[in-house]
Amino acid sequence: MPNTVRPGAFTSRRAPGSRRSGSGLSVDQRGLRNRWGLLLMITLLLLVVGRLAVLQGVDGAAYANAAEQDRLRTYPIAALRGAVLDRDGNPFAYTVDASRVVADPTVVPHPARTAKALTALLDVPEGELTEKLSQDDRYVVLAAQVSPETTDAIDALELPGISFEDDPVRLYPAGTVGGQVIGFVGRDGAGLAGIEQTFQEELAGTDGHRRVEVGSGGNPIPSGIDESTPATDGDAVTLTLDQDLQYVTEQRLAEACEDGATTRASAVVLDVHTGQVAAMGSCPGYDPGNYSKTDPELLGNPVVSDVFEPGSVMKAVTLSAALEEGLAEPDTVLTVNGHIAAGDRVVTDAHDHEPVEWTVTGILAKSSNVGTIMLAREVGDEKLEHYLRAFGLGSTTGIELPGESAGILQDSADWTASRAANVPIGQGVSVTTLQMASIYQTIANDGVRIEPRIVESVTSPGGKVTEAPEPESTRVISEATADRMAYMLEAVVGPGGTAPLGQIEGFRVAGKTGTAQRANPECNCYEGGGYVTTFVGFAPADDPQYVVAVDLERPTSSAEGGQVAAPVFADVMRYALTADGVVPSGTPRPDFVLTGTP
Amino acid sequence: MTSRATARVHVRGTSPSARTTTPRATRPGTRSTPRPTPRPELRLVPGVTAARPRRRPASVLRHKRAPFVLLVVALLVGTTLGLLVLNTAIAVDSLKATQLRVENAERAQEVQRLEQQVVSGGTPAEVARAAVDAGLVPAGAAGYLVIGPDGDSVLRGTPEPAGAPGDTEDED
Repeated sequence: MPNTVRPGAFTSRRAPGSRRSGSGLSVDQRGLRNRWGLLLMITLLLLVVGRLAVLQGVDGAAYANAAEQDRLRTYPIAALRGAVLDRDGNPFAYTVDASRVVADPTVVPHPARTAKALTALLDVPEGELTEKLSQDDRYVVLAAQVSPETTDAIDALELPGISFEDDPVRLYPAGTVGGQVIGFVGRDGAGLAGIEQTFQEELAGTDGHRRVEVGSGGNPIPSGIDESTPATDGDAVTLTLDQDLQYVTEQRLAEACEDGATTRASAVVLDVHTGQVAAMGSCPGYDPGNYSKTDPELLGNPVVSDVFEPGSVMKAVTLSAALEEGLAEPDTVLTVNGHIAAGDRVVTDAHDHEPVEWTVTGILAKSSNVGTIMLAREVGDEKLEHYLRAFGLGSTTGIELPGESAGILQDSADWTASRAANVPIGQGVSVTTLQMASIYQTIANDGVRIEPRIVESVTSPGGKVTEAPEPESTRVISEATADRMAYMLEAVVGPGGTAPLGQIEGFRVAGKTGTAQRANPECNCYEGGGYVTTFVGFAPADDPQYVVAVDLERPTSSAEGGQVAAPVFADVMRYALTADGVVPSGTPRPDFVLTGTP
Repeated sequence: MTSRATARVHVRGTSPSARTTTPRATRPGTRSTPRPTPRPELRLVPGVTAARPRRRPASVLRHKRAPFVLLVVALLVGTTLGLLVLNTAIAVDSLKATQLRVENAERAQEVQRLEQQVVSGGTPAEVARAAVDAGLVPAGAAGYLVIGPDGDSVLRGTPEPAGAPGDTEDED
């Protein structure tokens, strides 16, 4: 060791290049110092190793996780809500991709400048945007349901702090057509009315998400973590409605509502053989895409939820009961007075008259209250109630729509004498338009009632079709009774009947008018309530295909069903038959015997 | 004999000049005792002994190590390059995937836009408006010719000629 400086009298202990360590110390001192040094080093090392062990071993997973979370961004992938289609696949409602424009104001460098750039694209006032962008917040929503084109345009501006989230938008291309049936969805995407509500679970689907590793700028790192759980889109619901027929029906109802006296008009079209609803609507209707600007009172479906006293259309049930019980035949002749005593009051025909000899057919064709009450008394209250319930009155039909009313039908045991005289002629008993149509579907379908249904099937995004369960069908009256009822109902539309306006050229039509006093909601009495005029019928009478029920609420008019409801029926039915290619009746209408000699 | 012994010494030492001195002279002597037995083997390469001293023994070893070092270097370089290429390829693929995803999204957007156009153009109200614009009128009662089993046809319904456009607009 040539550089080693040996300690000596003339040698500096701090010679250049020399190391202080060790020099000038005794062996003992050096050993002591080394030992302490070693101890210190070991302690320090242990501390470091210990800390490392804690960091890596004990808290390691948590730190690694935190670091990953810092790099990972989770973006929700919104599931597209399933479409609502008509029976031919035309959409009533469907969902398209759109975005919500959100901002992180802490990252936005120039709120005013950014607001100016966005105001025209988002159609939001500049002041509102500036205010939102200046907030001391990390998340503000600038605009919802922005179209992809607008999103692209904003994206091209490369504004810092502005980002997008999935926010699909529900579209109702047909507007008001079928609006009351389809319903609408609220801001949170949940169905709040109609099919949207009933089939919320099927339509909604399941949201997914995408986890991406991002760099400091928030951009995804290529070859970094990028895993996504795809969203499962909702199922599509196919209805039994026919969009064209629905449109024509609503157009015709809207026209009826414009006559100055009608405040509400409803109609429903049923397929006779399946009980399926081909069209259902009322005026005034609403556009589900614009429900928030509609009077909340109108956001229902009156065809299934509003009840009214149907009036004379109910006579078909009374006469069916009389025929089924063998108490009368269509040509049975009764001497009918112009009025009849019923408890504390007297029920008259529409126009009081001297006693006439009418056949049962004549009673129906002339819509005689007195004749019907005479037959009902022969049937008896209990039996009559049985038939009324068998035809579906007093209970819901089970249609796949929310808010369905069961109507009002008291137990016959509780009927007063005047109620017992009112029920057979359709007063003191309340029904929905759908229940009314269902009665005539039963008669048209040879006496077998099929519960009306409006959903045909549910289709998964993968294309798996689940047919709606078969509706319950029950025989209410015999085929023979149904045939005789159809014959008698045809007389109503024939010469001498109450509804010649219900005729459709080329087709034999069977139906019944009704004009019932409307309960005034203000006093819960009939005073000033006006009338509900109805017409229910089916065609062709010789081979029924469709049932159409129409009712108009006319608080200020006393016009009869044959005058105002029958023409609406005829127009809707004509379109239904023509569009479906139903061949006109091949046999002429039979001659009806309305009067006779007992 | 002696030359061989020195050669051995050379292998072990790094400074041959310092080691050819006295203490080593005893070595051949000490080793001479066990030698009689392996000697015939050593004799087998007498010709080479003349050439050997000229070659430097260190370089022999270096020559032996060289392929191994080269292999290691090649492996290192190869792995590094391979990794680089793989990484680049992955990055390129990832970029391409991102690009394709963007393109896909654009296409989907386009499809959605077109579908929306088709749907809104096909609603009953739109079709009705387009029909009226085209001068069409709602169909009146249709007539049907029903062919019986005997081949005769029977007219069902009363066909009516459609009215002029505008006349029948208030019909449904």
